[in-house]
Amino acid sequence: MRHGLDLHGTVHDVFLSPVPGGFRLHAAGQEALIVLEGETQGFLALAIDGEDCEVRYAIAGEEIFLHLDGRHYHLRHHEPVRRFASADATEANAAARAPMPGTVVRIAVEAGASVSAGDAILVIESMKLETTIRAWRDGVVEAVHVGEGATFERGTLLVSLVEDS
Amino acid sequence: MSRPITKLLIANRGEIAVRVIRTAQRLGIATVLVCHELDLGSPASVMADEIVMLEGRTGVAAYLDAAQILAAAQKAGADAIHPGYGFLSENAAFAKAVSEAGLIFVGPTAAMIDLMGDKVRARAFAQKHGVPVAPSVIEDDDPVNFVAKARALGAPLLVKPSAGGGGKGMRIVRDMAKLDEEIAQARSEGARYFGDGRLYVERFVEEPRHIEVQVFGDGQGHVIHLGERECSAQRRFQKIIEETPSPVLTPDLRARICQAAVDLARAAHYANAGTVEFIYGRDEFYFLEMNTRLQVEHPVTEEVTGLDLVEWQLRIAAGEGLPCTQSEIRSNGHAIELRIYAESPSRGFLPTTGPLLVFDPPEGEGVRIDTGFVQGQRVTSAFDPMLAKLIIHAPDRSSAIDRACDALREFVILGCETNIEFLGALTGSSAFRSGDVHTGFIDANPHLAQAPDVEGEALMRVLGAACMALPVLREEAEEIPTLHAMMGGWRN
Repeated sequence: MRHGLDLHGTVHDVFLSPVPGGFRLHAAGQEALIVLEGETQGFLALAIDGEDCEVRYAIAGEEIFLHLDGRHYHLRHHEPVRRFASADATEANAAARAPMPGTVVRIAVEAGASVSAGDAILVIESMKLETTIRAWRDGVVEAVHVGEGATFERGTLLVSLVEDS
Repeated sequence: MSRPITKLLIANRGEIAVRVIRTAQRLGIATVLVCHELDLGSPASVMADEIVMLEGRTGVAAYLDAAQILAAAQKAGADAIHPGYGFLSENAAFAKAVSEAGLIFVGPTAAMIDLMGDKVRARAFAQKHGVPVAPSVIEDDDPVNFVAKARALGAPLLVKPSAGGGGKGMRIVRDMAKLDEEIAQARSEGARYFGDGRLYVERFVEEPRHIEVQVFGDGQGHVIHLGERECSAQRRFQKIIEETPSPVLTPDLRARICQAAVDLARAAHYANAGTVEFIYGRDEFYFLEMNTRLQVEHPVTEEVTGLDLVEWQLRIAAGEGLPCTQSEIRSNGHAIELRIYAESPSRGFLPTTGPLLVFDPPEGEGVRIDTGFVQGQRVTSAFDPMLAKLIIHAPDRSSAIDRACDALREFVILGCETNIEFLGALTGSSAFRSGDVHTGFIDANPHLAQAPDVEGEALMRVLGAACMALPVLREEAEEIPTLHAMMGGWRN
C-alpha cells in the first residue's frame, strides 16, 4: 500500500518494503536503504543509505513532527484508503477491498443510499488506527459486504458502488 | 537608608519570573508569585515559595491588575515587588502605589518612569543634558507649523506617535509628497494604540543600528554603565538577536556612547537598572529612549561581565548602593542572545500555537537557556509567544556565532512551529558574520525566512525518518513476504 506524506504542501507517495536487515524506501522516484540501529520512545537511530541519521519525533493524529540533521520538519500522513478513494474518483471503479486486515468499527450507509464523493461509508480499524473509507465517486451503494464488528483479511470486498441511474 | 528585602513578590510570569525567583532564592529572599490559572503548573509557579492566585478575564488582564497585585503583596507580607519587564514594569502609577503602600518597588521612582515614558519629555531632557538627539520637530511645540517644519527637515523622515513604543504607528517617509498622508495615518494609529494622536517627526537614519547601554544608578547621582548591547536584528521593530560587544563600535565610539548614557542617567539621579537606547549610523548616534526596567536581553551583559543584574536590582532597591565602581567592571568575551519564538517566519512571522510534545533545549559550555516553558505545556495565544532565550558566551564573536549555530541545530521543539531555523539562517549569514545587519535587514531579506526546498537525498532522509516513525508502515512492510504481493493495488 502506498501511503502519502505531505511535506510543505507536496504529497509524496511512500512505500516500505522489507529487505534483509532493514527496509527499502520507495519514494519520490528514488529508493533508499534504511537500517534501524536503535530506538527508544521518540528517538530513532537510523542509517539511510549508509549515512547515520538521528531522529527525534512526535506523532499527534495524522501529524508527524521530526527533527533530524539539525532541522525540524512537519509532515502529514495520508492513509492509503482515503488516498485511493479520492485519487481514483474519476474512474468507474466499482468496489473497495480491504487494504489490510482489520475490524469494521461502524457502517455509515445502507445499501441503496446515494452517496457523493467523500461521504463516509464505513470506518475500519487496522494496525491500531481508525480509518474512514469514503465514497471515491458519486453513486449508489450497491452493497456493504461486511457487518459491524466483523474482522476481515486483506483483500476482502468491503463495499461496492453502482452508477446513479 | 538600607532596608533589607526579606520577601519579594514577583509581578510577572514566564521566563522572567523564573529568572527573578532564581536570584532571590540564591540570596535567601522568600518569593511570592502572582499567578493566573492559565499559568498554574508553570516552572515559575513550581519554583516560587508561595503563590497568590490572580483573577482576570484574561491572563494578560490579570497581570496588569495593579490593585489586585498590590493587595496580594500586602496580604502575603511581601516587603518588595519586582515587576520584571512588560506588564506593570513601566507603569508609573503602579510604582507610586507600591511606594505609598510602604513597599519597595524594584526599579526607579515613579517620577522617573513618568519622565522616560513620555518620549517627547525624555528627548527634551536628553537634549538639555548634552546627549545627542536626532534633528526633529515636536508637534506639541508648535502644532500650527508642525507639518511645514517637518517638511523643512527633509527626507528621509521617521514619524512617530509621542506616546508610542514597540514600533507601533511608526512610519518612514522617503517621498515628501506623501508626508501629509503618512502623518494622518500615524496620527490615527497613535490614537488607536495609545489613545493619544500627538506626533513627532525626526530625521531617519538609513540602515540604522540599534545600540543600547546598560546603566545602574543609586538614586543619589552615582551611575555606572555595564557596556553596550547591539540589537539591530529586528523583525517588525522587535529585537530577536542581541549581542555584546557591538561588532560595529570603535573603542572611541563605545566610550562616547556609554558616557552619553551615564550622563543622562546621572542628570536624572536615576535609581536601579535602566537602558539607554540609541540609533547609530554613519559614525553618529542619537538618543532614542530610556527603558526604566530590566531588559529581555540583560543576560548577554551578565555573561560578559559575570554579574547578576537581578541581584544588583535587589541590592540597590534595598538601599545598599551600587555594588561596584566603574573601574571594577570587566568585560570578557562575546555573548549573543537568540530569542526563540513560536512563530512562522515564512508566513510573516505570525505567532503559532501548539502542544510542546518535545521541548529539549541544548546544553553545553557557554550555552545558557532562560525559559518559562517545559515539555508537555501548550503554547497558546494568551501570552507573548517567546518560548526561550538561548544565550551563548564564547571568547570571541566568531566562535560565539559558531556555537550559536550549533546550539540552534540541537534545539528540538516538536509540536509547534518556531523560528529556530530562521535564527540559524540569519546568524550563519555572511551579513551577520561580518556585522552588517541593520534594523531593516530582515525585512529587506525575506528569503532568509523561507524554508529551503527539501530535495534529493535530504528528502529521502526526511521521508525515511517519517516512515520509520509511523508504526503502521513498518508493520505493513514486515507483513509483506515479497514486494510482488503488494503490486497491483487492492481494489477492483
